[in-house]
Amino acid sequence: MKILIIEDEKDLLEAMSGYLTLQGMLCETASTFFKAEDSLSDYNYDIIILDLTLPDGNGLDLISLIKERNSKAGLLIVSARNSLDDKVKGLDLGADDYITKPFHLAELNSRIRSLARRRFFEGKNELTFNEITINTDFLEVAVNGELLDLTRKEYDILLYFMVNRNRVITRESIAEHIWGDNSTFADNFDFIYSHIKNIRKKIEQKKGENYLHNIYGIGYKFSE
Amino acid sequence: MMKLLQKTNRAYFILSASAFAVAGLVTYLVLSLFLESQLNEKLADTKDHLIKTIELSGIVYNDPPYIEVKEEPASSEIKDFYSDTILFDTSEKESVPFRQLTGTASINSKNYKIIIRNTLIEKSDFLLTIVLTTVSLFVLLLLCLYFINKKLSKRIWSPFYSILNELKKFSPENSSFALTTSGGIEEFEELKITMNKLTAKVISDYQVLKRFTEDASHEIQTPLSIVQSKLESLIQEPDLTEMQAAQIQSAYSASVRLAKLTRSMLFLARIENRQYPESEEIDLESIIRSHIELFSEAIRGKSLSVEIHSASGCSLNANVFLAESLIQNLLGNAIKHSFSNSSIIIELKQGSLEISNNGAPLQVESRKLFDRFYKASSSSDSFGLGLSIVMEICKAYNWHITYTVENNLHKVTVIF
Repeated sequence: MKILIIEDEKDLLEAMSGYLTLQGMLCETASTFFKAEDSLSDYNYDIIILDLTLPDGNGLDLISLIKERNSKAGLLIVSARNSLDDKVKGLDLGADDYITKPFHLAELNSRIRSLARRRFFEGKNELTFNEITINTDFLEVAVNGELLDLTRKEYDILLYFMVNRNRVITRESIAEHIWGDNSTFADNFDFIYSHIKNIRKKIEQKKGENYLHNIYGIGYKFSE
Repeated sequence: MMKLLQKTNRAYFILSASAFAVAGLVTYLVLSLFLESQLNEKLADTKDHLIKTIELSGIVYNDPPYIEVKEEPASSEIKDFYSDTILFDTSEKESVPFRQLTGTASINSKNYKIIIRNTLIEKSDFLLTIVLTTVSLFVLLLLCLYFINKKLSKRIWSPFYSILNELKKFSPENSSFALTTSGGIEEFEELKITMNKLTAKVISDYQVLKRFTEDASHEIQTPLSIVQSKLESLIQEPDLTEMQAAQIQSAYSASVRLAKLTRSMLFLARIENRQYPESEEIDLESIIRSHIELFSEAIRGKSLSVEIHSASGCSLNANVFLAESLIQNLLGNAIKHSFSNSSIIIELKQGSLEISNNGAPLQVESRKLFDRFYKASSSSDSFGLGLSIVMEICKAYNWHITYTVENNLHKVTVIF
């Protein structure tokens, strides 16, 4: 999957492209409006990540250019403004999703994957890791061909891990993924823990392996 | 507190009373001196006339108490002198004051002692008239002053009162505030200009302050995302020791916490700045149900039962995002502060929402709960902004929110 990241903060750009590259994506970067215009006219991308606040222009103006030159590309808007105005305007202009700074890299990845699934695999959408298969169209998980009975939250967590495999996922990032911006409760991490325990149990019941590993006090990692 | 009119009236009264007292006294003294000299002259004239009459007629004329003439030995000649005396009037049976002239005269080579008297009743009548006139003049003047003052001050101060009334309507939220009246009076025009400058300053300061929170939160977000993403990358390192992992973890948690704080502050500032103008018909019940699902772990964890009593056809126009935030905060609070095994009752009617739960009594006044950064418990996980957000949302829509506690039953009511 080929991705263009348009972001003026070099450090953030690096971190984003680093994370996504490790997830098997091909990343190109542009740190100014001008460079972005350049890249957009020369190449085609599957997904474009666009930061609206650029030093030499308004990111919203780039959207029409993207739609013109790269109409098939999925467009994810990033903004520090957290403003509904921008969000509405961006989505109106044809953006597919919107994420506000600061965000978790795992969340960014999960949004990109979901965007890609919606755009490119219409109707037939499966993610597989060894014996585990997730069908994102029917929200179904199968282990060794047998369907798992997961709650909606367990499904969301497992999918989050599947798209961010081999990466340490922090508990904070999972909490925000499930409960949104304002995860209200102090014991959210306990809830995550018990959800993960349930997922493990349900996978093991179907003779699946435990790929969910605890990583110190930080979080979890889905890997061999 | 004394009214301005009362104060001027009092000053007028004291001033005019003393002026009249002095004027009255002076008039009295001058007039009585004048009267006395008039009387003396009259007495002297009468004496001269008497002497002439005796000289010509030879008859010694007596008319007590007004005229008394007595023969005297020659040696006792005295100079004329005037004095006051009081005699008893037998016919009127009362004491009467007299002015008298005592002197001697030699007429046709005989010596006489002559006393001429005149009553002073005229004089005291005269003085009484003066005093009465003065006093009534004084009262009249005072009444005039009072009414003129009252009428005048009403007119003169009317621009002041309209300025005051306009000022009472001042709110820093209203950025177009400016005083309009001055009544064409220089002092009030100056007051108006000064007040306009002052309110403009207050408004602009308020706007700057409001923008500041928003701008500061913005500016914090980009560096924060760098910190957060770098830490997330660092976490991925395979060879971390447990201690390094723990340190990265606490730095990471803190950055996430800070990110949430700036987000909440930004959210508050945005509601305050009325930046959520889009509104649509909201299905509050479905928002409530989805949040009950969202909070299901916490509800199960405390074995709470949540009941929704909803009248059909409740509709509400608002911004979806704000409505969700309202429910999330109120429901989240109710769950957080409920006793285990208790129940939360949500009553949704047309025009009102009531959420009640059983929990420990409040340690503080319920008003305080809506203050920013106020935390009822020292749980480090909350910022104490939730109810402030609820309050701001209610303010934005002119909704009325009340919070009551009775026998451990906490009840939040929002009237739409």
